[in-house]
Amino acid sequence: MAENFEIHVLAVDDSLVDRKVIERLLKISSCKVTVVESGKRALQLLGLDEEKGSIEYTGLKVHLIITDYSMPEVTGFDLLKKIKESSTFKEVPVVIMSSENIVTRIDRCLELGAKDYIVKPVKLSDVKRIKEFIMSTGDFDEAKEIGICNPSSLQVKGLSSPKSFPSAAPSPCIINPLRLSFSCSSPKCACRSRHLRFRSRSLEYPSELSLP
Amino acid sequence: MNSRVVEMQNKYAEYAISLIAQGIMDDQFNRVQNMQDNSNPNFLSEILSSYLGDMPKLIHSLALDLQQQYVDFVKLDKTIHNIKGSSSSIGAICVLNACNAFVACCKEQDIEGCFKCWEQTSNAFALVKLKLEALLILEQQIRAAGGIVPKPVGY
Repeated sequence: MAENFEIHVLAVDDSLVDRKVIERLLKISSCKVTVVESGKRALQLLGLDEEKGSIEYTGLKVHLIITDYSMPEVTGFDLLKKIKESSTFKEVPVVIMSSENIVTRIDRCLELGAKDYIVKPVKLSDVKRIKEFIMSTGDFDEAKEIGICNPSSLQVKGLSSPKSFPSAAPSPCIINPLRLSFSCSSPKCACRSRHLRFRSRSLEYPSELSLP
Repeated sequence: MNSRVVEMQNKYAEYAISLIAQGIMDDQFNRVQNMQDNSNPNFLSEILSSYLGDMPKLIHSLALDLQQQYVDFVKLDKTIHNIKGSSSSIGAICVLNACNAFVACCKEQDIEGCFKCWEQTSNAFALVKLKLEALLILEQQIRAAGGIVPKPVGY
């Protein structure tokens, strides 16, 4: 399955020329690419824009976010911070691009959890290296691919402790076959709407649910 | 093989190499040329056109900012940074170098120095514009004659 799997990358840069370059490099490396021109737009796509709330959530599935550092209003650093603070996307690797080779800046980004810091101009070898790293560390998996909530955000009535949930990377919501009621606190999870759908119909939860 | 096309291809290749030999463009330009392929045959002309189209506005805004009664060096620095970034991405090293000198003058808040740097940046860009437009015309001619555009070797 992993062989047919295409990495989806969200690229963010306010420079048109740089957007064209990074998009091209990613496509040459066989990645699916979404390119946006601002940190604000990136946050909107990820559903992390506080102003818009969860209404704008597009269910964007990403395996990597690569962003320019110096952008107006929402910088690459701001974007990195918001992503790392988000329960949905904090596991998504973030790479910073910058034309400035400033050690303190690099340190700040890496300390905040950036996977890499590339000094521009970005080369094909940089993109290939990052892609290999992501594929090899298994930093992508199906759960992030379908943008499902983090199990630690689940509040399940009737279960004694959340320790029964995997503590590693987010996995799909599990509908309990014993029909215990639950509610996922993440507004973005597909489980929530499904739960509501079944509740109003007072039907049994299906023991196996295929997620969209 | 059409000898006219071969002639044009050789001319193109020599011209592209000469831009680097003259220090107008650098190695990054070779990499950018290689980003073009059969599935994206217009990549080079698109990206160079974007660059050539965007820079004049920025250079002009620098001139306006320098002529203000109270020069906003932070704003200047931001604009120069934009020009520098795009120039670096396509490999326009002569513009990049002019920008670096400009940034240094900005830091010193040396207005006279900044004026000189602006002129150098503007001239460097004018040269790049001239050369890249000529290259793109050669590219068009090769295509029109049914040939493929040569790419630098080893990238």
